[in-house]
Amino acid sequence: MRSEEDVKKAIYTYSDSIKRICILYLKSPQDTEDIMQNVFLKYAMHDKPFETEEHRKAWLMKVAVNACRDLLKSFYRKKIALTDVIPEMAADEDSQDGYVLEAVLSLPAKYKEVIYLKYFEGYDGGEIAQITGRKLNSVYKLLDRGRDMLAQRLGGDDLE
Amino acid sequence: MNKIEKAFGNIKADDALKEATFEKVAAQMRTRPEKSKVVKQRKNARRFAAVAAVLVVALVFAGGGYHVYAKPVSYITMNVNPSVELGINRWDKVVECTGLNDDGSELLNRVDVKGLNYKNAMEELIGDEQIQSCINKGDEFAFSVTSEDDSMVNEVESICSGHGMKYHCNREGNGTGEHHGQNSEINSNGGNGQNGGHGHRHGR
Repeated sequence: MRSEEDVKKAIYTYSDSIKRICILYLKSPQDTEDIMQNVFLKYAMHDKPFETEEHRKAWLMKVAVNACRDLLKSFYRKKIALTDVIPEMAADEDSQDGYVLEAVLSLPAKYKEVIYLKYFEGYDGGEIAQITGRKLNSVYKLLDRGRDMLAQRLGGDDLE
Repeated sequence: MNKIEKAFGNIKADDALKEATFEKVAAQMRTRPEKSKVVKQRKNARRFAAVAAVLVVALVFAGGGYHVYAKPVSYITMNVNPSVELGINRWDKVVECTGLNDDGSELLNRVDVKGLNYKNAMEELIGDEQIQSCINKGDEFAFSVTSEDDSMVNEVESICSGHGMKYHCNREGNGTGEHHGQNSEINSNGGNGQNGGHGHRHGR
């Protein structure tokens, strides 16, 4: 079992990233909290050392992705207004961000995962394959299709 | 910055969420029984030792059967008045114990050393009351070691000196020849020892 110091540090460093993964799957605030506790408890019980910070982060993301998928599988979730989960958004109604967010979140899970990991977290194909547990080729295919679908939903704007 | 980075960039975990997460996780960590690394290592070491032991026994049986285990290749004789002879196998375990006189037989009845490592067997015998009183009286012990193992006689001597015994220790060549019979020969020089027959060493 890891030390409380270690766990505290991980929570303060990586909570943002883990919360975003949770939002990606559109969890209620309660579910987000549960998943975060779940992820960091697993971290606490994981004794093998990490070679780098990137390694640690990627491990945490993989656990978070799996935890969210498991929750999705377990029962049907009600659709919740985005502003409930992301209060910052309610304040900024004019911005484009809301549309982009909605567009990404509306993608089927397998697309939004890879799109998010690549365009937000900046992972490459190999890293995405590890975190999502998919084959490299599948990742590339999903990225292609995901980009097409996103482009359609955002009205042909490109991502940059 | 791409649009996705911008859109998701606003999503952050606030301090309240981080604190709450830590409190809950720490609480759960404290209630978990700590399976420390040391305990795990010891458990694994025990398991390994158990498996290794089984394999050794299996190999011994495969390698020639029970009689290889039970065959003495060395002998240690102790003469002080109880006189005993221990037959020791190639793995340093006592596989035969013979009383060379009545007192010796009785001693072996009281102290069962079969199966023990010969050093432990000696310790056990020395611990016996009768032997202890011999030591206290200052009786002189005569040991005879018959073995191909050069270190055995040194081990016997160091055990003797460790108990403050008066002793002398004789080494008889190797163990493949005949060994002492019922007529207890104290300090036998009968062996055609490789180290020139006598090789007395005196302690104390």
